[in-house]
Amino acid sequence: MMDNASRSRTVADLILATRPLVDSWDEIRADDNTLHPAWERYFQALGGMSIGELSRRWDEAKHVLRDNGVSYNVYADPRGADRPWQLDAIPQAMDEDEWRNLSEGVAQRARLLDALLSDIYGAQSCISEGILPAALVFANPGYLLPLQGVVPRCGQWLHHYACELARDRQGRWVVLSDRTQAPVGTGYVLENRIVLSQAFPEAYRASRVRRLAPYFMDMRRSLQAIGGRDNPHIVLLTPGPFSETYFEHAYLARYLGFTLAESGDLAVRDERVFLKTLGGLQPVDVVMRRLDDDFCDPLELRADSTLGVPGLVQAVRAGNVAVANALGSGVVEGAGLMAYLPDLCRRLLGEELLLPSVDTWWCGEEQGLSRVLGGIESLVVKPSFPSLRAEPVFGDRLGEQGRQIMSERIGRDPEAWAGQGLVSMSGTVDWSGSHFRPRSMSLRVFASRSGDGYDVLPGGLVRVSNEPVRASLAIQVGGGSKDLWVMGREPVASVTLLPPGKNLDVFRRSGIELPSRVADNLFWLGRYAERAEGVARLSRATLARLAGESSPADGGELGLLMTAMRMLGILGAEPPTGRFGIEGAEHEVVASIFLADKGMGLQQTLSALHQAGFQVRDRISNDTWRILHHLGRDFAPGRRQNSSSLGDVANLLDTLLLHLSALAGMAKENTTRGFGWRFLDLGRRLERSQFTVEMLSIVHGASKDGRLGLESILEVFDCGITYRSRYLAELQFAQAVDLVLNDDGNPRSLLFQLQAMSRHLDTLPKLRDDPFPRRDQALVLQATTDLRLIDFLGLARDPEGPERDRLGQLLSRVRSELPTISDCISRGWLSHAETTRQLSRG
Amino acid sequence: MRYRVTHETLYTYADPVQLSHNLAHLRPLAGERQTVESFSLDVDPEPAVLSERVDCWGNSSHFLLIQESHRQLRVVAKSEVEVHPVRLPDPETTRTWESVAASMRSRPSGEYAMASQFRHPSPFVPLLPAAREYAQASFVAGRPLGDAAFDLMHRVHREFRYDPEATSVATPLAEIFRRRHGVCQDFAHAMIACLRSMGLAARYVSGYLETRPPPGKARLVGADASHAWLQFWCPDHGWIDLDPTNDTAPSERHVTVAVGRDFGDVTPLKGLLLGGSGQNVHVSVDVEPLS
Repeated sequence: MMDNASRSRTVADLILATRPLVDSWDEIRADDNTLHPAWERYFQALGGMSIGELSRRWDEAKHVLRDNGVSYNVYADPRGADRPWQLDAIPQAMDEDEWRNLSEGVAQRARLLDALLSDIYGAQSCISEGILPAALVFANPGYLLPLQGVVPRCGQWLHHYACELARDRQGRWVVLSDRTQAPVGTGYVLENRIVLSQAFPEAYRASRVRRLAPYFMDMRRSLQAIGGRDNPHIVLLTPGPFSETYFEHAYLARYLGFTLAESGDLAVRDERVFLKTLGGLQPVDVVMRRLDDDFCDPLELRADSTLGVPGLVQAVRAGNVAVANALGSGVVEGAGLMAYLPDLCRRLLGEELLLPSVDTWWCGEEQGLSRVLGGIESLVVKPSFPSLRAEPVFGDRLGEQGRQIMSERIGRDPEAWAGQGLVSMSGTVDWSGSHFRPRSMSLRVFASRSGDGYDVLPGGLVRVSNEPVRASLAIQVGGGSKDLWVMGREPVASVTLLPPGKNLDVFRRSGIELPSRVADNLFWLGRYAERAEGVARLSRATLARLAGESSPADGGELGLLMTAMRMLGILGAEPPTGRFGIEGAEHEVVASIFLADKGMGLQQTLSALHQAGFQVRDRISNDTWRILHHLGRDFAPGRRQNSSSLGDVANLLDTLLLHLSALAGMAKENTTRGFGWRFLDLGRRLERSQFTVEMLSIVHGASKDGRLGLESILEVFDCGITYRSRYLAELQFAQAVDLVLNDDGNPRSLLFQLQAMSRHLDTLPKLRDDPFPRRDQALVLQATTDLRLIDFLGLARDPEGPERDRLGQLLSRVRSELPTISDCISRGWLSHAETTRQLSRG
Repeated sequence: MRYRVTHETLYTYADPVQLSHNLAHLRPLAGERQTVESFSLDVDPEPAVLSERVDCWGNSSHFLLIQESHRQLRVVAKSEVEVHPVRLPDPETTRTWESVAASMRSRPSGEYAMASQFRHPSPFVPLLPAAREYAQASFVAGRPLGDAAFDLMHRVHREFRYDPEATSVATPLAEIFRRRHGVCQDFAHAMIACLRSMGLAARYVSGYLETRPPPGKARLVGADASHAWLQFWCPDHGWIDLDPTNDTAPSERHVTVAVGRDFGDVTPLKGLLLGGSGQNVHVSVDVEPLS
């Protein structure tokens, strides 16, 4: 906790009062204790901001980060949860002149690696001339043989490049590693920038920070340029929502205006790549991949990949699709290669390498091997090739025996290992929430193809750690991030995101280009949202009666509601043994709300709802996402207080229902009526129909006069007020059933759902070319007609007569036909999940 | 010798296949060792795409895509090939195996660098201590490479049992070494692993054997299907063929189809299907000598 005296101190004072890291370059101060120019300007821009103010604003900003769903999935996380992204309140300041030097070096490195790829997959002259050790290519799992001799579109291999940098004791930037597959991070950089600039707008403006947007516009233009036609169709290929950086995939796809596709969304026909959409197969010109290249085609690359697109390599070979980065580009990102970059730069570019790599020795050569074995304690030992997926080993952490074991491992296959010097990384500070802490940092910088050269993103992802000497900081390892502010002397020109000059004269409406997978997820999003609402309303009504009635065995409304909860799978089929009476019932109902192991309980439904929302993260608005994100947080496992009273639980359900209504409102008022919305709404209508007929079936069979359960039904269906305004207090079976089933003015009635479904089904893309109704249409029509033909007057006069039986038959028929309608929809438009199998080899 | 080769593969499926992507290595390799006089590839049903390319080692491969629903796929490759006799170097006069291995390590250049790509582990031929142990008896210090390689072949032939029932494509090489049995493909992989464990370059050859021997000559093992053997690289001579299954240096009775790091690079036919559970495959090969 901060006392008032510290709260009023300025941020600048407190940062300067933080002790710098020993034996490292100080990012903030020079040797004579004066500030580096960029930091001087940053402190000026802060204008004497107090710690209290920083603290207040940053607490707010952290909510924004969480609400935007910025996360990094961690495979190993036992909770399977996304870890919230960590961003620091203090940016890393860098002067424009220093940045210029650094970015020139980064751009040169990207050019070099592109030229090297061109040589490796072409003439291989660097190998045959002995400049590049042959084993660094031929023993490298990243070298993809099927791509040998294949020249990608426009002769461009590397479109996106990133490198991890650290600053050594002398203040010299060195490269720790290169990324040439699908460099991760630009999406996080963008999000960091947005959050930080919103939290500190004055400081951001006054610091004259170079803008990020132009880089992305250039990136989009250069991908369009390799598309081979005007307005090419570009997809961003993601491994899917379980990928650790899925947040970024969805974010970038939205930001750049590309279609987010999983491999199941793509198909190869006639040596061309297509996107599977509601309207059939749409050609794809460029694939921006976020999938490691060896996984991209199970036919010609890794046969065990379930993420790839069979035939993609052949489509690339035929020149019908451009993949960025080109398949095979991973061969140049290993540690082993780094030792040879200076020679390769002279040979391939005729230039001296501007940006040095960390000192590297490859064990495949005698000299390198003896250096590494001779002094392992001052090195980090890494696999030569990142695809070997072995963790780096820090020599200084090994004991005598550990060093021995490592030396033997290297000796068995020296070509697979490289040693790198440990870099004492430079020091900065981060904000803990109450004070500043000294931290060491590394920097990831990004470059993107632009014509013959590369643009470097004026910014980057700074990662901080409390360990001063580490030559590799993977995002997975954790630690915080910072935004890099490159500060200019001149005011920053305002940026337009539109390409200059050209006036677009095309107008569009949302159409059939919606990927089938997205439609499928929207359909289920609608279903789960509605199911959650039904479960919550039913649970709330049950809780209310638990507070009042004596026992569920009394045959009153409570017993009926609990039966309904059993029928719907919210409660187990039988009451649990052990506790009886009202207490047992209370225990059982509350458990169904908070425990995740209950079959179709609230927990399961909410988690399925989140999952469906997450899968279409790029298709739903930020506002909708925020609602989804908040929704059900109170019910997260572990949230339940043992002492919560029934009233507390009911309050939580009230809040949940409010959020669910907000979600429904977003769908109704803020969603374009395209096919995406139709599937979302179809899912909702179908689920609501299902819930209605289930509930009505129970009431229908519950009592002779049909009155038992009417009160609960009207409450669960939110129709109590309407009923009472029409019929005063008298509860009548026929009138209540009319309101819940047959009143087309009631948005919760079955007829209302059937009519809405019918409109949607009539609008979906045609599957056949005849004028007759499809099965799904026919079933909805049949149910509508049967419902309208129920003689409600007759039912009112004799609630125990033959019309009651007809009603019962109708309910059970519709109940069994709704799943068939859902299947018809899935089969007709949403089936995309066909999986391929291997042909036995002949 | 001249041959007419007919290689037929027939797949049948219990459930129809909607789509099938395939990769075939069926056209015999043209080069100094043999002349390909004619070749035809018949595929039924008719593929929507049939394209051929030549890879970096000179192998030809066909990419075929079948987009119509089918329950049966028939691929028939027919070729007429003239195989020329091979002149083998005297194994005793080749360089020592250590000097050859050393010249491919570190930073080899020229043909050493290009040959060196076959000295590394590959998907079907991982680095195995068992292979190294086995090889050491043949690769004694200072022995000429050719001599050591022939000795290794004799040993593999003698000590590994040919048993078509014992293994499948999926049997790992470690198990082949443990149980010392397998088919021609396993023999080839085992010997490749031994050579590579010594730092030497070795590659896999997929091909055929003459199935109808001339009168008086014995029919060779593995003649009723496609066959496999290997090559090792010897400076001054290039790639030298060895067939450990038959304990012979292939000459005019072996027809070469393709060379690669291992079976996976040159599989005669492989593919990915949509649908088509319950598949069955039948392969027949006929190699008929022509006058």
